[in-house]
Amino acid sequence: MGSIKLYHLPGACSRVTMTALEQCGVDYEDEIVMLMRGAQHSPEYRAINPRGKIPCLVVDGRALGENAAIISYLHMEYPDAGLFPAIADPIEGARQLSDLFTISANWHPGVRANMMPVRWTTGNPEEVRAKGKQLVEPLLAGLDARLASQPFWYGEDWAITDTYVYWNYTTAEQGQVDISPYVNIAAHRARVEAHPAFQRALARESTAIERIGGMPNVA
Amino acid sequence: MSHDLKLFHGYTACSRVTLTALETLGVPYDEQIILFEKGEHKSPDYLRLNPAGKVPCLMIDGQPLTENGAILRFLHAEYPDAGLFPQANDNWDRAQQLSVLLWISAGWHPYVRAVKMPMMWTTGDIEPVREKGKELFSGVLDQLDAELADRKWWFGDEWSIVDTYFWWAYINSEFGGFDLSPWKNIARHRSDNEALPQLQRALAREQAAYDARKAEMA
Repeated sequence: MGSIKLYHLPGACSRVTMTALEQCGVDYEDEIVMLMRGAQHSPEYRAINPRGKIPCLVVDGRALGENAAIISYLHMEYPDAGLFPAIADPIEGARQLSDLFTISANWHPGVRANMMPVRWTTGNPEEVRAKGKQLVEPLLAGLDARLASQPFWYGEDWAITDTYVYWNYTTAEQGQVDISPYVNIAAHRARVEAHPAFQRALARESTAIERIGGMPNVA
Repeated sequence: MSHDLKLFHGYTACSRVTLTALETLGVPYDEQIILFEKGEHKSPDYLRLNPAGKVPCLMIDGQPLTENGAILRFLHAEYPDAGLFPQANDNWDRAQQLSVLLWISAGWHPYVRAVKMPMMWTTGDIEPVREKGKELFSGVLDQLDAELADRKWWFGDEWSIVDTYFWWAYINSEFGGFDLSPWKNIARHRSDNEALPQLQRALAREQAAYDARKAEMA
């Protein structure tokens, strides 16, 4: 790969993409897109990513959008970096992709209803928040059951899928979902937070914030 | 490679896109329609295969695979000459093909849900959710319409399964009372899709499966 740049926002799901970049040991630049100021809709950013979303990975001037697509790209380019466990057959590989789709298309929109209900309504956000909670709770219960017998999503070893689902449940917690009843998720959370690539991604986010002189105080 | 394939699908659901993919392959497959109005998606037998209780679910040599986008990529990998996606030259091309599937699955589909079934996003008043859904959906329609201004299909001159996935999303918004007429390139893309033999075969197969189950229960 040539010159690489990640467009992101500290704390957004681009934190997962950044963790993947760190895991692969990629040399990359990064730039914050101020979603709270609508910067994703600016003509400058739309020229980079017409979908107006983050994360977006630009490689040699060409843009790739969607978190799970970027993660899959990195896994194809760096198959030995450990983003996913080794597979025994094509169906197992397809299942790993299926899990990314589930997290992107099921977890994330549900968490969004919970954490940012105004994104789903022009009316009373509390009714959307309540629905988001109902959508997220069975996902949390299913994840907690899965983690009862193994430390990570796929078993003994960390995968980027763990960090992606972690981002979703911790974001749901910010949306006032009580995740404390899920003891296996609590243990998973500590393991995911201790993962070195995740720690490096957090440090990189802090550096990015310092570079712009701190995050703006926007309500 | 040859596989034993069976698709669990739903009437008018996004599994219609998966059916179209199977029809494109031209290989034999089995299918079974899941009647949501009868709660069959929550039956213990189905939940054992797919704990999320959703369609599509493709049984591959007896093993379940869920999520439309993952199924479409699997079928493309196993039947690369069927033309579900254009030829990829490198990992970047492969990632771009995946990116558009994710955009539809995680972006378009939830917006369509807000327009067509707003009760899925709220415990209260549905109209403000539908209104927001229309605003969000208009935004992605604008983007697709602009992309289709200078080419017939998403990837260029050749159809890919991505085109039928878009088609499924926008015609579903119409079932939710959304007016698609302002988007001229999408109107053309729609009729091009509806003229596809593989789509017509998929719709006929879906209808036959539905009618047969309804007759059985009558």
